[in-house]
Amino acid sequence: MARVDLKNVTKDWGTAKAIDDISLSLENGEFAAVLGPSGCGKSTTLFMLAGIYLPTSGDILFDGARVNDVEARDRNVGIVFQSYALYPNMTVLQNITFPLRFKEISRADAERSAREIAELVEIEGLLDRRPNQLSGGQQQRVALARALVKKPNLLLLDEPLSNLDATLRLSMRTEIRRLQRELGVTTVLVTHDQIEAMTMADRIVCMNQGRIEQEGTPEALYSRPETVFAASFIGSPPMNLLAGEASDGGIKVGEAVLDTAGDVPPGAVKVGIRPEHITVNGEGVQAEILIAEPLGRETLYTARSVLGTTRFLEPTSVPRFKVGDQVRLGFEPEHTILFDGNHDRRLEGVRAHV
Amino acid sequence: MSGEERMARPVDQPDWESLARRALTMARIKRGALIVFLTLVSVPVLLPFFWVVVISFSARTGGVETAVLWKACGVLAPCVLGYAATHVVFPAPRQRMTAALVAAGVAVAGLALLVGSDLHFDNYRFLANPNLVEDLRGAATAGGQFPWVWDAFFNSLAVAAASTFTKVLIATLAGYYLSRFAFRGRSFFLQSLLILEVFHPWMLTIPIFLVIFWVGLLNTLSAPILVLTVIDMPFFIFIMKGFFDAVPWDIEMSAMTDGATRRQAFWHVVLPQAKGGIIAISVLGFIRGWEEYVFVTALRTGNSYWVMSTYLYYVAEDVMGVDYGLVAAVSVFYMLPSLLLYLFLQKYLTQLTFGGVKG
Repeated sequence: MARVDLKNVTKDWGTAKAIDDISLSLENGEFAAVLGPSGCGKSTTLFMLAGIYLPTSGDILFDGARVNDVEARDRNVGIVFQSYALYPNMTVLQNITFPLRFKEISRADAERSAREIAELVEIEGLLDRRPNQLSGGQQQRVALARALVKKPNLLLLDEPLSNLDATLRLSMRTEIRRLQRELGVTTVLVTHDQIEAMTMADRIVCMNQGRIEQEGTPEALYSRPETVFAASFIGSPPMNLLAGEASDGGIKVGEAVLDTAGDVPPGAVKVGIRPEHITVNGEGVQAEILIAEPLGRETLYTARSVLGTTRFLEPTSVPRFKVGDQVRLGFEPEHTILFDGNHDRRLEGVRAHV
Repeated sequence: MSGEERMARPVDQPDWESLARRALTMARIKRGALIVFLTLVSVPVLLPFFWVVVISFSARTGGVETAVLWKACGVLAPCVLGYAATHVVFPAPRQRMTAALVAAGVAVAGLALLVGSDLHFDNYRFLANPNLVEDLRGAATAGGQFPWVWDAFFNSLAVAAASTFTKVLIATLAGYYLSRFAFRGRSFFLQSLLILEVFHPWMLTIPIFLVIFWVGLLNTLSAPILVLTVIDMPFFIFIMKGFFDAVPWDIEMSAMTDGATRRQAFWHVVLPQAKGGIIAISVLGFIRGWEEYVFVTALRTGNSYWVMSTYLYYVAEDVMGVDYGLVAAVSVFYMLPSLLLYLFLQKYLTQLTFGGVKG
């Protein structure tokens, strides 16, 4: 269990910058999710924490001590790989005791701790099997047990759920969260699935192109995204972003003009509004339904109006509107987020409404 | 109403049962044809071996007993064909097993009855008696003293084992290094490995002879061991690289975060997964050393050492008047180790193609 800090860490591959000056602090026992699209440098960050890659510059600290030059095997970090990376030539028990082989622990003690951890992840009946005799979910549990058996300073999860089917993913999500709480181990989850990050983590670190876009609690990232990237990446269906031009008279979006609250600096802006915050048939602009997608609990519509193409959600399982129906769409100022159109950063203290 | 009736005229239902019957019959015919084809193709391959084995057990001093050969063929051919036929007719494994046992039983009984009295072990007396030719003809042969077969056997074993061990050791380490590490000249190294495969090693016989002469290893067993090791090396390195390429990086990284050093990760995790490749190149390397003739003859100037291939050549050519029974017996004895190796390890040899493709 450790406090982990990254200070101005950079990683270059030749001339390409994979990680561009990131700083990050994880409290002891915290569960952080690093969220981003593929190629954003999230796995590179993870491998640098593990000691597999060396940072080009910057420091990595465990409990305040610099560990840059400490080898992977001495960092006492547990990893669950996307492919699970179980050792196919060993039984499940041998897989789990493998990390203890290199420590000064008697074989009997090693087996005892392996059995304890196996019980914790509920695979105690599979200890004599080989990895190729296990289902995906069972392999995942073995990988977790192997990562946890050495009582790691830090648990790293590299897209651990992406190879599981939807139902299993849901149950493993709660399972991993429960284990993490029970053991109090500092954990970093790398994922491109924003739902995974939102549901499991205490804190989300949203990355893009080797940089941290924003970090904060899941609620903060959802309700106050700092950048256009964070706004569009978090939330499903994604936030509507209406490109417009601000002037004294309001914000011109397409052929419509939105009223503003607060002083919007003139120039290009983007108006963000989440699909669930769009009001239907109140005050607003005329729109035509293009697509209606029943999602089970609610229905997602795509509509075209003078504002452009917008998506909105309605909490009815049976669609209320058909394709081609005319509706009025509007939104309240407190639900809007304005971004500077040139720098894609949030504008503080200003709102807009129809 | 009348319009609807006209539209609802009976549609031709396919006769599913007859279609299924036809498919099954076709499958059976195809399987039968395949067995006949494979049997025909294997006859020219198997017949010489069969001939050698029969001769080695039946030939009396010098002559060849063709009668025994034809009688044995007459017994075995119907048994094999009969077994093939039952294999087509009976689908259940248990029935096939019974058919195989019956066929084998009939074959053994038939052979015992027809040719049993003609079989003997006289031709194998070379295994126990170093002086068989002198005993027979009262004088040594043209080349001087007749070599002792166990000398040749253990020399061959030494050549095959020593060259195989060196080859496997170096090829494994080099293959791993080429698969995992980026270093200056890596691609050049890989390309030159392939270029070496283009030239036949026999073209190098004379330069190799000179090198061996200057080094002072002429007429020693070390010479063929070294040469064989070097000749197979590029190919074996390539095979091993292919096997290591197929081992995912994740597993190695995982082992290293689990507390293993790179060497321990290689030993405990990576190497066990390249086991198939190691066994395959071991078998290939061993058979290569066991059957080597060109370099063992080229690198000795007299009869300084005997190996099995030169011994067989000696028996076939240098004994005054060819003794077919003896040559056949020596051949069978010579084939046996390769055959056993192949029988027990052939599943690793078939993996070789996959490993090679990946490389």
